[in-house]
Amino acid sequence: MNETKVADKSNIKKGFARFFFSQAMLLVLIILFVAMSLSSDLFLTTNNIYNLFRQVAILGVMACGMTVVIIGKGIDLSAAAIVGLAAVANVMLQPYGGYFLGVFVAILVGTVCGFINGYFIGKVRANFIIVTLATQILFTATALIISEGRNLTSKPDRIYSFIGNESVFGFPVIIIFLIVTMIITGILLQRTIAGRRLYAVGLNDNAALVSGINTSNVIMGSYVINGFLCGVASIVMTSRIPRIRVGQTAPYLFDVITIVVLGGTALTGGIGGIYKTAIGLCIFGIINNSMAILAIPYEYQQLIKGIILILAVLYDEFNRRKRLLYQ
Amino acid sequence: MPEQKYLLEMIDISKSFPGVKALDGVTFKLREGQVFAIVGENGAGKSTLIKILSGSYTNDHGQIKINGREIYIRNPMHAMQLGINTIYQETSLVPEMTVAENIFLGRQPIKGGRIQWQKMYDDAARIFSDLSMELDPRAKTIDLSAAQHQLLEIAKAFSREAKIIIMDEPTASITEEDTENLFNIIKNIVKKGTSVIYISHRLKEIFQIADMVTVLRDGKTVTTKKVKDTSENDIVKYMIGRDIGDIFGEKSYEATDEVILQAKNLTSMGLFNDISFNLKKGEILGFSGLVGAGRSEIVRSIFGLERLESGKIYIDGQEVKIRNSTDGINKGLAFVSEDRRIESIIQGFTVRENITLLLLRQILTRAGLISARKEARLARKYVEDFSVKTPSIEQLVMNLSGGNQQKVALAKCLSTSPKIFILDEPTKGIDVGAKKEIHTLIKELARSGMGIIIVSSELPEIIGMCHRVLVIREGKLIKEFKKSELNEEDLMHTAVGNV
Amino acid sequence: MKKTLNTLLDQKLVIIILILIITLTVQDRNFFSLRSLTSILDHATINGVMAAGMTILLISGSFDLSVGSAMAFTGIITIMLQPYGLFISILGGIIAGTMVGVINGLLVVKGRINAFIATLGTMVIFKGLGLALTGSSPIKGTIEAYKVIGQGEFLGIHYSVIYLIVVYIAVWYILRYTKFGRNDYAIGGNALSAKLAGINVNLYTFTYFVFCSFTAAISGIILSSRVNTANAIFGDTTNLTVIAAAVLGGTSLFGGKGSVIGTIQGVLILGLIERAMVVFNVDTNYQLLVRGFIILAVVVTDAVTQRRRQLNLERGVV
Repeated sequence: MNETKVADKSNIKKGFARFFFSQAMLLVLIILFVAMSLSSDLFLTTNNIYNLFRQVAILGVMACGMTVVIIGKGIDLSAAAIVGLAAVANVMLQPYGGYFLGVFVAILVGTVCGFINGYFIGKVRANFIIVTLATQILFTATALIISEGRNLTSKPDRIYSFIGNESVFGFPVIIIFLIVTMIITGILLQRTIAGRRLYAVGLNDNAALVSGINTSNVIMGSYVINGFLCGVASIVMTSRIPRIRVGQTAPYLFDVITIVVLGGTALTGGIGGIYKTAIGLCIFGIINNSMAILAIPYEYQQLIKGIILILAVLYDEFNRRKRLLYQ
Repeated sequence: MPEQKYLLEMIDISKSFPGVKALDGVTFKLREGQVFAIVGENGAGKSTLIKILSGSYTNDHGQIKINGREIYIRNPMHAMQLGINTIYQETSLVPEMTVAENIFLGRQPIKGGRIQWQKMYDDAARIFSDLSMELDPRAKTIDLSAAQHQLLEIAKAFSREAKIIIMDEPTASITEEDTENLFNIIKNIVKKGTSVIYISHRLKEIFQIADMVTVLRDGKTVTTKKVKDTSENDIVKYMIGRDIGDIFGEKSYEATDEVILQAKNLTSMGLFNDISFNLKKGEILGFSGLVGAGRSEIVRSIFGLERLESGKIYIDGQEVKIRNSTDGINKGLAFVSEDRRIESIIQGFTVRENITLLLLRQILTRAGLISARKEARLARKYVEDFSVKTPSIEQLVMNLSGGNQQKVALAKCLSTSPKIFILDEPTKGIDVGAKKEIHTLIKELARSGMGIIIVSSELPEIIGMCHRVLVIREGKLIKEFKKSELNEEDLMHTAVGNV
Repeated sequence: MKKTLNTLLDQKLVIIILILIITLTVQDRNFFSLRSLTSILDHATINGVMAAGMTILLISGSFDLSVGSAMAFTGIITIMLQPYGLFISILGGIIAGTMVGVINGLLVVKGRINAFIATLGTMVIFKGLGLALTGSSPIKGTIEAYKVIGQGEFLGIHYSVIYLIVVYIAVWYILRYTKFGRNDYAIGGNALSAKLAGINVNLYTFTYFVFCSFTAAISGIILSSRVNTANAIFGDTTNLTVIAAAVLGGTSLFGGKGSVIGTIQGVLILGLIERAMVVFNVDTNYQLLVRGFIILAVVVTDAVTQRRRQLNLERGVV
């Protein structure tokens, strides 16, 4: 009898610890939110909060794709370049088939790029860091070539401006778009066979193989999905920013990685999800927004973001060891 | 005559792991210039003893003395500093470096701030000639054969003035000719005062090279003798010598006559050669033999995890091509790996997620998504059927005991209702209670018509469970035993090659 | 010595280099002159010096994405310190650039963070720092003498070529004749083995990171002196070129293998290809495309060859 009692107590302690660690980022989010609300009048207004999310909408969609890839124990450094290429292809083809063709092309381009990444990483098994660095150059170069280095402008369109600028019942469409994307990706990860297999591969690809999972296909699929979502992100981008210059998407990559890592999805794979990324997105959004409100110069913003990434990664590492400890 | 001092003494060593007492009061004394063999079945405690000596484990109880002085071995580097060198089965050499450099790794000869390559080559050459080894100091290590890697490791240890060199199954992957060579070299080193602890199943070799032999069984020392005072037969008796009794209950049912799996001429270069056998419905077929004989490789290639170079497999009379594990599962096979913690279950997943991993298609809603309700129901059913002790299906599998993890692995594999079930060391490292449950389960499965293949190194398990046993030695099928012919001694003799 | 010469002549890379030189000479007779050949080396110095340091780091099995930022940062600090005198400014710059390596080393060895993420982080941090310090615009150098480093000539050959040769000889010597270098191969080839041999893997790995950034710092000095300007966006594209040059030259991303002889050849090849594209009037965008392809091809080949070697090793095939 005594034994069970002791076991219970230590189990409760363990339970608390596990809960605390898994929700730590949520706490950080809440603290940040409260802190900002108290320190600046400009923060807690509907308009500002909406703006906050408008600004990170593109990043949010990209983060969904990046989450998928990272869960599979990989990363896609060409993501921003894919968004850029898809946007360029979209705008260039608008004169030929209208806006729907543009959208279709953007998604197609994104998916194909994802497929290229997925092939070399999933099938050929080359180093995912260098491959996606190389494809980043390839995709950027392709974008430059087909646009001949010119800046492009998307023609104004009712649909785009609807997505980009309008609101439904006072709620910005672009945010609804973001939320819907996140929900769908979340369902994909948690509630589909493919998603379950992805987690398995990310946690232990050996065991996944023995369980009959085709690990090559799963990994390839994760990069294809990321490519697809980058294509979608490019549509969001075109609706918000009609003028496109190749290279303007470059800073997104770093931000997206920061968002996913901040949220708590582990770089070692198999752990995390859209819920976590959403929290990371909110935290990032608040920091971004706050730095703008506080009028911090661009260069220092970059510096701070870099430090945040390092801290987030250190925290991720700390978590990893804690996970192993609290058995 | 005054007693000669012992070089190494391990006195009353005990070591336990959760659920298992690996060593129980083992005493082992080694003199200078001796070749001392340690033999025993798998699980007898040999590798635990060696790991303690080489610094990877610490003993719970007992003393270790070198030249009469008590020591505490802190870690592998410390062991090396004390003069204890272990030659591991996985090479500890740097592949892209030259032979000479591997020997002098970390202590290259330096003069005037500059590494003296010529001196290194010359020094290495001298060591080789001292030991009568034919190795080229300038050769790239990766170009050497496995046997030469071993010689290199020995030379390396010797050059570090090792007092004790531990060799664990050194002849496992080398030819007979190389073995001859190896023995000559061992005799050489020993003449110069180094002692060798030699672990091997190959009794013939032990009688060729060793001076003394200790037999371990169930973590205890059974006997220690001079090699010339005993015989191979005796050793086998000591290794097994237990009252088998009928721990496994009656096998009152017979296998059917219907052949469910047929393997013909399975070959994979370097691993196994020309393996042919049948498996009948309702039969439990055992693969016996020493570790490294190739049993795991054979069954893994049947399931699709390793490549078969040639040979055919027939299931239910039809030839099948199994190129990967997905094919294996689709053709009705199931496989539980020897390394179940790493390969058969996913530690980071919950019990529920592990169990349902192969059944995802069955728990979908009409929309094609995974139904949480169906999944939970399914998982709970299996947890109950298999008596998995877990506080909930949401418990992470890594928090379960070894026996329960194995049950989860079994549940997962059986969820596809396979026709043929392959288990590699199904109860290795599991406590007695869970062992019994798993054995009962396996028998029930056979009774229900499944064809079962068990690879096991525990002779009582093989004898108690199987209808027929195939003994594999060095990649070849040596002999098939029928139930009535089964006894531990014959199995062991066949496995080590005393036939 | 003899061994090195042998490997030098054995290389397929030498053939590629010769082909490239011949192609270029055919296009333009004047190409095959001392002046124009050394100008290739000249341009290649910046990447080349960094590639030497990167080679050492790659051999140990690690990785560094921040070299470009370290290079730019060095230039910035150097020029900013120029009011305090030439010597102090150069010293300060080199220390600043090497600092990046110290941070990388700490993050990877102590923080146990994956080298890629850690150096990705430092890359951004130091780029951001650089932007902050320069106010996002290039800053000009104020000491005339400084320009000599990058622009000086001796008998028609730029000093840069001399730096390149000196660095490569130094690194070659280190890798061949010092414990620092040999342990590099050991750690990259079989870290466990190295540890058992008493090599302090953590300490050495840390120093390799520092060394890599140190060479980046030197490149930073050369570059900023050559154009007498410091700009935070220098080095954005260098990372990949440097790594590609090393891998092309035979250094494996998996560690344990590589040599500076190969790397310099890789640097030359990439430099020649670049020049060829200019000579053949290839559009800058296509140049970028070609660069991407080369890197991809190089990396895929490395992966495939290493895996085949790995598989053979496991099966006991010799």
